[in-house]
Amino acid sequence: MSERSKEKESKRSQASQMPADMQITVSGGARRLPVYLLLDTSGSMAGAPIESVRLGLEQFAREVKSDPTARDAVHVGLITFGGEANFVTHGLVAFDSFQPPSLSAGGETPLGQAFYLLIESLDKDIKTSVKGGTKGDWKPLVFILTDGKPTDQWREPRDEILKRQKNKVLNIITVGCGPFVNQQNLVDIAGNDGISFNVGNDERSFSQYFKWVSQTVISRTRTISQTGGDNKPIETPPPPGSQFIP
Amino acid sequence: MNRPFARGDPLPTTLAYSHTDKRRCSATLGRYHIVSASARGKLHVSNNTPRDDAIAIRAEGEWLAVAVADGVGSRQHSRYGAAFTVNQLCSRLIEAVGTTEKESKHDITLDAFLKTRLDLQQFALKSGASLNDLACTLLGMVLNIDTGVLVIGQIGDGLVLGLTETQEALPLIEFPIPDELGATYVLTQDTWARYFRSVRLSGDDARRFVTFYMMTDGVADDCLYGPPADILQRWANDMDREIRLVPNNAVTARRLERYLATYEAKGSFDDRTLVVIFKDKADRGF
Repeated sequence: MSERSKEKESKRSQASQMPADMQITVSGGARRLPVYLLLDTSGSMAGAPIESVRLGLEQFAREVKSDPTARDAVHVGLITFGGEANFVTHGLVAFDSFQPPSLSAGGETPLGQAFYLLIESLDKDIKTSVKGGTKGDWKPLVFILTDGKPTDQWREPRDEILKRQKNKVLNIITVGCGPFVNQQNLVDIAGNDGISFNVGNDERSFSQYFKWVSQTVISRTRTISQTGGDNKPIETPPPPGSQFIP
Repeated sequence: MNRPFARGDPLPTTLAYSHTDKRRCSATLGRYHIVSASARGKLHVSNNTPRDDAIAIRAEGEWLAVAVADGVGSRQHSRYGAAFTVNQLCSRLIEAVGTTEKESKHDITLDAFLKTRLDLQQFALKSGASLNDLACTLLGMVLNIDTGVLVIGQIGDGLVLGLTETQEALPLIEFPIPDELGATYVLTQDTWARYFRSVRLSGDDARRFVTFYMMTDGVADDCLYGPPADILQRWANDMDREIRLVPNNAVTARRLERYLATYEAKGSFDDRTLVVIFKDKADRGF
């Protein structure tokens, strides 16, 4: 066999024998999607409504855990406000570690206190990307469930949060529940760039609301993975039976 | 005398062109080997939507032009924007280096990007699409294989990296990151020139690099951020080793394509595109 033929044969042989897969070190970190749930646990939620919220939280936990993309990305911060505001999860926790707490209702509606807890967490817990360091977080989602009747000074911390929304560093969704929802307050809380709607206060309404939260979160983890995806508006339609507040 | 060639995703002429799920290509030009691949990400696979990344390689005489682009996922025709711009940019870069000598080669990339954007506007008009529908990031470089002069331009995220003969990985261009979380700059925005960056390496400066990498964000995200803390060094050296393992560029491109389509990394769901340009390590001069 000539040298040229041997060379051709060698190349053909190499082409047909694919070596083992490439072994390349890749990043062990992942971007987190912070999801804050601010839940009204004031006296007006006593009885069936707070039990429905608890069941709804469990449903939310189940549904997000069942989605592999969301389960890895979502980190939850749960803040309740009834009597006083309480950061139940003490910051953001990985979804695998999230256990829905038992909830009780009572007291007034300290939404302002809840906002201050949220601001503190946004400052302390949200990570920005550092080249050579770790990946930063995606834009946080903030869901606020309330009857829209806060009883403390809430506008100042709300303005601070809205400033951040204007700088496009978070997305706010407010949801009103109960028969005496103050719709104007809901809109004021969410600001011009937020979303507000009204659900009922029966068990079915809460279940549908939390299902909607799960769908929105799961859908978000899919869109943000694409280039420019974090800029997409939230497109999940509001829960059935709910009323969008313009 | 080097024969001219063109590789990569073809230039779309209409919005009916079929953008494949993956692409691989390889070539040799003088002392340089070029191996590249582009694979649809897990998100697009699960949504059954097309790849939004694109790749083009062009050579003429002693000049090699390479470009990668990442279409904005939410825009209807962004994959066409990506496929169109990588091809046009390569053509414009080759055209620019062939024209009258300019005092500063920095003008080459800005001119080429500007003309590519104008070409894209014409394509949008002709296709009945809006320019925004074709939004994409764009990275491009042109290399003189005789003198080693290298000019790079970038708008949006992605990464251009060099690996030195002493195994040090160095990003070759710093790009601005928007304040808004998760956002990126694109060629189609009105203010693109403000966020465009370019850099020129003289032959002497470029001589110390044995390998160049150009990649979209889908790969860059997995090698820029830890853990481990030295992820970039490890990634670049691992890739250099693997690229040189088989002395057959076509086989290597196939391996690279399979790797990009299958490697697991937490939260890594985007399309993945990588071009590797390398010379034999024994080769020190031009």
